[in-house]
Amino acid sequence: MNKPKAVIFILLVLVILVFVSAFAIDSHASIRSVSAHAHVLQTISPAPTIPYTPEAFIPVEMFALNKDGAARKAFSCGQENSQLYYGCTAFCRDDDPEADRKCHKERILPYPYESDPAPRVSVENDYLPDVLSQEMGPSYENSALRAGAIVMRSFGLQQFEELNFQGLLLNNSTRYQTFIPYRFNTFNPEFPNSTCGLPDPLINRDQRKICDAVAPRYYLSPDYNDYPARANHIGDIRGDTETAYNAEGGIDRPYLIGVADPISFSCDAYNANVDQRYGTSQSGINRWARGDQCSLAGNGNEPWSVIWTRPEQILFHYFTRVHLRDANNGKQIISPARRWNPLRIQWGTTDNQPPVMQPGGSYNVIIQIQNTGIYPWTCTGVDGRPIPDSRYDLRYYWSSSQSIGPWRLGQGKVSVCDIQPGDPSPDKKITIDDIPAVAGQYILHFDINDTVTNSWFRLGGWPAYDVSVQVVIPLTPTPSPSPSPTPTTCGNDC
Amino acid sequence: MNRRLSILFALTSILLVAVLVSACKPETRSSPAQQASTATAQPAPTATAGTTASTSVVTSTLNKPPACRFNSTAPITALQTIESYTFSEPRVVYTRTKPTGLFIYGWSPNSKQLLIDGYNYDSHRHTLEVLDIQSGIVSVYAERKAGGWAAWLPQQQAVAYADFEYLDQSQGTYRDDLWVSWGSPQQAKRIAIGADAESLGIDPAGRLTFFSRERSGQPLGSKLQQIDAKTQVKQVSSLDLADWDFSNNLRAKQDFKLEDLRLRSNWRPSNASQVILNMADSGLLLADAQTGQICEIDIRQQNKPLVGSHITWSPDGRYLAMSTELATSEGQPGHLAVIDMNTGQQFSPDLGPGNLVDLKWGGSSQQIAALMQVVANGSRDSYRLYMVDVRLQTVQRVLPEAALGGAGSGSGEMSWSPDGTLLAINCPDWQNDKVIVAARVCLLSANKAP
Repeated sequence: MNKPKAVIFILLVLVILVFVSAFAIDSHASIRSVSAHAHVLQTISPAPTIPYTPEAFIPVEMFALNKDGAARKAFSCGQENSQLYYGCTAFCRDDDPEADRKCHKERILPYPYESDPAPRVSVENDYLPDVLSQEMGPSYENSALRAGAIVMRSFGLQQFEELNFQGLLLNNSTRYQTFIPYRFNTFNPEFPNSTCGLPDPLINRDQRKICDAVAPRYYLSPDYNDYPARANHIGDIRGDTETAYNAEGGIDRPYLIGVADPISFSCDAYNANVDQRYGTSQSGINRWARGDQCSLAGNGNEPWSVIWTRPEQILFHYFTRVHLRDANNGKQIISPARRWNPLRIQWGTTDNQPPVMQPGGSYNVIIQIQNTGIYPWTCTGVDGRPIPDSRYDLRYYWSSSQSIGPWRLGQGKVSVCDIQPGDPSPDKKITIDDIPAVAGQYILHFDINDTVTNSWFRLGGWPAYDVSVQVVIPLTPTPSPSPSPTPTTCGNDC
Repeated sequence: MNRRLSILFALTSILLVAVLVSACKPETRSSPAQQASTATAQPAPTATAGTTASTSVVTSTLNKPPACRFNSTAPITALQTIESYTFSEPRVVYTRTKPTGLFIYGWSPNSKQLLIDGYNYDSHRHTLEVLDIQSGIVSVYAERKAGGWAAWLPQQQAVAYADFEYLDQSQGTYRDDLWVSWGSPQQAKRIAIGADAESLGIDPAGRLTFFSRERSGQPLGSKLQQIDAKTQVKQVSSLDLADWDFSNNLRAKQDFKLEDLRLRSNWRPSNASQVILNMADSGLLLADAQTGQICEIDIRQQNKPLVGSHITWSPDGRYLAMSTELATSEGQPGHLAVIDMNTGQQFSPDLGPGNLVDLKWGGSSQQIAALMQVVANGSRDSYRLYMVDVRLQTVQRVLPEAALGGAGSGSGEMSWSPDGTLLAINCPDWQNDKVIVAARVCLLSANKAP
C-alpha cells in the first residue's frame, strides 16, 4: 500500500468508526462501550460534554395513580378534583375503591403543591424520602436502604436530564419511580409534616432509617463521565439479571449488563415484569443485605452463604463498571477502581456455614467471586513482556477477633484470572490448612492480590471480605491409668 | 509512514471496526415468557363458610380460619347455554365539560338509569347523579366532599353513599359517615356515624353493612353491623372478627394486628348471609353473617400467595372474579382470575400487557367485560376492552379502534346493565392526547349472537 492509499484507507476506517459509534454509545457521550458477552473494551474519542451539576430541585409531573402505580393521566394533581386522590397524596381519599385501599387513612391531607401540576421538588428533602419509603420502606435492611437511596437518586437525576433534553418531564408513576407526597410521613402520621432534619419524636425510628439512607448525597455514574447512571430498578427479578438493549438491538448502557444473581432463584423471588429484567431489584438488594434468599423475613428464611453489609457491594454487583460519586463534594469519585464480591461460598458443611477448624486440619472451600471493578483481571502478558503465571490471586489473612495483632497471610491461594467486569468466576477451590495453633475466634479476611505489583485490593480502598471462624484444640486422648478394680459386692464372681 | 507501519495500522483499524460492529450487532432477545395463568387452589375451598359448623367460639383460644372447602367437583367449563356478544359502536349519551373524570357506579335494577359521580367545579364538591339514558336527564342526588363508595338501594329507590366530616381540617383528621339520598341533596340523610367507608356493602336483603370506626386513626370495630336504610334499625350480626385468630392465616403476615385491619365486603348475591371480606395482603375470607363462621380462600399462582382486588361476584353467585397480584409485590399489574365457588377451580385468562383497571359481569354470569390500561410514554394511555367467557374460557378483544376508558377512576370505568343489553363506559374527549376537555359516557349495545 502506498502512502496516499494508506491515508485514504485510514480516513475511511475513521469515518466508519464515527458512524458505528454514533449508535453504539451512551447518550451522554460515552467513551467506552462493552459487548454483552465478551466485555471487550474499545476506546473511542470522547465527545465534548456539558459540565454536569446534580440538580437540587427537579420538576415532577404529578398524576393521581391507580392501584398499580400507573398514572391516571386524566387526573393531574394540579386539578382541583384530583387533589385528594391516591398518588397526589398518601393521606388520600379516592373515588376508586381499589386506589383508595392504598390510601393511608389516619388523615386526609390534600396534594401539597396547590395547583401546580409539575412542581419543582427538593430531591433530597422531599423526592427521595418519599420515593424510598414507597419503593422499599423501613422493613428493608439499613444497607439495602442505603443502596436503594443511591439507586433512586441516580435514576431520578438521570431521568430528569434525559427527559429535560427531550423537552419532557419526569412523572410520579411507576413508569419512573413512585413519588407520592407524604409517603414518608405515613410511618409517623402523628406528625404529618415532619422532615428528615427534625429531631425525635417528630421523626421516629422507621423514618430515621429512611433519613439515614438518604443522607449521603451519593450517586452512581458510568466510568466514562460524571453524569448519573440510569440505575433501573424494579420490584424483583427472579434469576440472573439481563442486559438492557436499545431499540436497535444494541446494548443500551454499558453498565446495564446482565449479571449472575444466584441469591434470587428461590423463596420469594419472582419477575415483577418479564420485560424488565435489567438493572437491579429492590428485593434482590435486600436479599444480599440480609444474606438470605428470602427478601423479607416475613417471607421465609433460606440463609445464603455470603452477606454484603456495605451498599457498595450491592451496587457494584448489579451495575457494571460504575463509580460512586459524592454530589456534595464536587462529584468526587469515592469508590476504588479494583473491586470484587464473593457470590457464593461452599464450606462443605451441612449448614454451609464455616466449619469449626482444628490445627492440622485441611479445609477445602469452593468460592465463586465477581469482578465488580472497572477493569478486567487480565492475566495474559503484553507485548514483549514476560507472561506471568498469575496476576490475580484470591487469598486470605488470619486475624484474631480477640486481639489487635497483625494479620497473618494464609498459605492458600487460587488464581482468579481473566474475569471481565461484571462477570462471575467459575467455582474456585482454595485450601485452608494453616489453622492457628491457639484456640479462639478468628477472622478470615479474603482479599485479592495483584501478584505482579504485589498490591491488595483492600489497600486500594475495597475492604476484604471477612468470615468469622472458630478454632478449637481437640482434646488429645491422654493415656489414662489402668482402672483400679472397682469394688463390687460380688467380688471375683461377677 | 512506511509501508510496514501503514499495513499494521490498517490491520489494527480493521480489528477495531470488527470489534465495534460486534458490539453493536443486534442481539436476539428471547421472547418474554408467558406468565403462568392457571393458579391451582391448595386446599379445596368451599362454597360455604360454615365449614366447621359445630365449631364453637372459645374466647380464650381463638379459632384460626380454616381453608374454605368446595361442594362439587364439576369443572368450571361445565357447559350451560353458550353465549356470545357483538357490540355496537359507542354512542355518547352524556357529556360533562371542564377537566374532570366520571365514575360510573352502576345501573339501576331496571337497566334504565346510571349512577355516576363527577367533580363539580362550581360547588367544589363531588356530585352523585342519576342519568336517565333515554331522556338524558340528570338528577343530582347528593353532593359530598370527595368521591368514594356509592351504590343503588333498589328496595328504597334511593342511593347510599359515604362521605366524611373533618374533625380537624388543619390536621386532616376525619370521620366517615353513611348517607342515603332519596332523590336530591335535600332528601339526603346521614344514617350512620363512624361507618368505615372502605367496609361498606349492601347485603342481598338490601341492608347496608359496615364495620365501625370512630375516627381516622382509630381501630376498626370487629363486629359487622347491619342497618335498614328506611327504618334505620341497626343490628349487630353474629360475625365478630375478634373471635378469630388471623395471625397465622394463609398469607402469614407476621405483624398482623386486628386493630390495623382494613377490609372490603362483597355480599354473595345467591346467599343472604355470605360475604367476602377482602383483607388484601392479610387474606381473603368467606364469612357467614348468620353463623359467624369464617373460612379463608386460598388464591395462588405457582404456589405463591396472591392478593385480590376488584372482587366481584357473578350475578348468580357462582363465580368470583378479581384482579390478582403476588402478595409479596407492591404496585404490580393485576391479572384477571375467576374462581368457581362451587368447585374451587381457578381460571386466569391472559389479557396481554397492561393493568387490569376494571371488570364487570354480564347479567348471565357467563361473560366478564375486562378493561386493560396499557401505559404509554408522554401521551394518554390506551385502553383495551376484552370479553372473557368464563365457561368456554375464551377471550375476545372488543372494538379495538374505539377510544374507550381513561376518564374514570379504575373500577368506575364501566358498568354492564343487569339485563345484559348495554355496556356503559367512559369515552372522554381528549385534547392533544393530553388533557380531557369533556368527560363522556358511551353506551355499547350488546347483542347476543343467535
